[in-house]
Amino acid sequence: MSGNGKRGDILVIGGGISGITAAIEAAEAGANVTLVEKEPFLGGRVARMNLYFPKMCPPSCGIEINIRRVKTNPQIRTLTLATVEKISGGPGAYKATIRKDPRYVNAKCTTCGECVEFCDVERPDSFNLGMGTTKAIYMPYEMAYPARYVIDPAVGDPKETCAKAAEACPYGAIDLAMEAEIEEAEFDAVIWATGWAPPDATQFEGLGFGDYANVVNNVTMERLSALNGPTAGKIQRPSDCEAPRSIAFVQCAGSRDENYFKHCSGVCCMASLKQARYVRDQNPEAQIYIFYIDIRAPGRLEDFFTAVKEDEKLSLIKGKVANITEDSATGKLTVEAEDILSGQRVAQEVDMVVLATGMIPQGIGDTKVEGGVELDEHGFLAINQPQGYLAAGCAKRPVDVATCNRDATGVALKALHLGAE
Amino acid sequence: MPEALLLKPDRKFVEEVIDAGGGDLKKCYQCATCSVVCGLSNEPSPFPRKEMIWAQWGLKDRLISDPDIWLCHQCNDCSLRCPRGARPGDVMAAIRQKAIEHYAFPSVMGRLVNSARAIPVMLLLVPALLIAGALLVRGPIEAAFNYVDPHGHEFYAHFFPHWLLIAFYTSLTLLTFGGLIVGLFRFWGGMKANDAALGKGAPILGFIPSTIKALMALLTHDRFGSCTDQASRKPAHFMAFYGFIALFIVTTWAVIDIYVMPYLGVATLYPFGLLHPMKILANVGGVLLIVGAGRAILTRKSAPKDGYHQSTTFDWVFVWLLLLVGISGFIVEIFRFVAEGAAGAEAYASGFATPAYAFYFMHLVLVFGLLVYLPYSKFAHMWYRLAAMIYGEHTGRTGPGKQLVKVDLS
Repeated sequence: MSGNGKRGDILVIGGGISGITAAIEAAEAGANVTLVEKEPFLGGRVARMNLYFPKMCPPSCGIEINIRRVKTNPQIRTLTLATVEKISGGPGAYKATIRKDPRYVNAKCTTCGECVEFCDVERPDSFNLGMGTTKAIYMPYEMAYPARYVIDPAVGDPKETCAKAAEACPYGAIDLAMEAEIEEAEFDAVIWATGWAPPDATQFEGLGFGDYANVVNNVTMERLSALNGPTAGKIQRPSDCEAPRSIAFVQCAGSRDENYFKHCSGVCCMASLKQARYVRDQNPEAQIYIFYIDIRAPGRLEDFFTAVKEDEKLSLIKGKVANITEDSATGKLTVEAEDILSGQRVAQEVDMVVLATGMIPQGIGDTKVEGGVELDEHGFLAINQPQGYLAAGCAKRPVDVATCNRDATGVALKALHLGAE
Repeated sequence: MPEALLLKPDRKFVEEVIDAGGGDLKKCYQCATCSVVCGLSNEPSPFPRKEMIWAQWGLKDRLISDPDIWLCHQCNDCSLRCPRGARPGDVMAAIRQKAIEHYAFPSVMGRLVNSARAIPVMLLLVPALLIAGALLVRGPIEAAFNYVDPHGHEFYAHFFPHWLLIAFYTSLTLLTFGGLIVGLFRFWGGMKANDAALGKGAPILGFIPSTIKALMALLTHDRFGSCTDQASRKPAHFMAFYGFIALFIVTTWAVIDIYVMPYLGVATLYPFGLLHPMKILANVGGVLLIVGAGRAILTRKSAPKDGYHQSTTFDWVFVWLLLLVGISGFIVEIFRFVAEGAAGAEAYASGFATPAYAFYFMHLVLVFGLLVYLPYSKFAHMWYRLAAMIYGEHTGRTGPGKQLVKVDLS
């Protein structure tokens, strides 16, 4: 790349922390970036976290700074509710077909929220992972960017569900005539930052997810702990809204398991230690049990592990939970494992169970890729792609946020090279 | 565990267990899913997680005198749920084979009977030569004692007289059975020493009540009922077990009838007619044996590669012997009835004799493989498992009941 040369056009697929970072780093170096996100807002999984480990600070501050950088950078074009339908070509000459679904709310929206009371159709709150509901016209979450309401067509034709809301909007921001648009564009480099999703834990035999109300997974636990979550940050049992006096964390639920997902996501240990902190901070009497095979707390993270371990109300039991049963009258759960250090089988009754489920790579989703992409045996994008594609963050391997940021920055540099003349 | 563990790894033993079907044992990462999903794992001494690490470490002494390997009934619920594909069920089976070989007395028999290369010699050549030898010495012995067999005119007795049959099989079976007794005593001592070293094994129940409870469990096969994924194993084993017991009773009764009853002044009823209760028992037993062993073979053959028990030579030799003994027994029986129906009392001189005797010879060879080698083949599992079940009751390894403890917070 010469000093005054072409900086290139870069497509970033996925607007989570990795995609945002890659887009910013590339744009700030001079490239023209198109950032495509399928949800109506940027932030992805990280926006749904309560606190980061090990610093125990909220992700919102990092997201806020990064979104300001996105917002103020004219070289980033952000497309939300957008997906890449088709892509072909190679380095320096990719051709993508991008589908932009209608938001039904235009830029005049001031997020005053007056429309909401005129809509009486509800939808599951996807930001809160289905806990609670919003109206069909809704603000994804308070810090969402773009800061605009959106209408969910999945619960009914917006012309019906939001006709009154459209009339009521004092700014004329609701445009029910919006339609999907298809756009063809050319790029020099493509970065897949499609991230991860939690697995469907109902398939994990013996763990009772989906059958027992008080068995939740770790991403749900983040929402239950977050101040902007469905419980305003109060950790409570789904069955009776009581604060749990005892919680078992089940590590490696469906992970490192040939029957489900073979890979270790590498972050669930730290996530559970962090969530144990959430519980203990809210309830000084709460008892925590962490059932593990190995605790993975590499490098400086070990200090956090050591600190959490000091807690007298926290027991670490080496042994995987293979069976969970429910007392249907009380909603209490009994988790069974063998404590392999003592060689005894243990059955512990607890109020609530958190399954530490892993990160399932999202690959290329439904995008049709000419020539295909190379995935590893777990579904993560391989580092070297036949068509020269780049991958960043959890699309490539399961990692924590800090590693995503470093990785995305490095990948942005590679993309700049592809775009340079 | 009370003290630091001094490991004396036996790497050769690890290789042997791997060769005997435990090939995936090194994949185990000690999560203990197996010990939890096992319906038979018991409280003071859960298995098979600890056996997996002992096998990885090559702790031969621990494993061969571990009662818990025998409390496992091979349902493979553990292998199905194992997250690593380490197949704890197959590893346990391989360790059991090694235990039988270890306690074999004389030990060379344990190695020979279970050596795949020695199968043609041990299962065919040796019994055939010994039986042929017995037939060769028959004439000289009868002449020396001036003995005329009162049953000599009977169809098969003409070929292989009862006195010879009983003398031959009883002496050889008792001989190897003596070896089994030695093995069982050593096993019992090993279990006690093993538990003592681990600070376990305090007697909970007396020997007699323990034996009664273990026998009841054996007779009802209730522990097979804890298997969830392969429930069909219970009826197959149940049929083969009772079929064998029925045939054993009939054989014993026939000996008593021929050689003991005359001394008591009771007329010998042998050979039994088709409607004699003993003959009915024999035929029912034979059918049970064939159906049970046949079902076992079909189940084993169709076992999916994934998590289900993969049978080894050790298993196949035993189930096929059971089936072939049953089938050859019926062929021999049918020949007899057909020959006697056609030629009456002179059946032994009829044209049926030669093929019938050939099958009878084969039947005797197969019976030899089953009975004489019992203490060294998979058949020995019956006795070692019974001993372990008695020991298990004795030391409070209470089986399926879940007496689980809470997490110790201290």
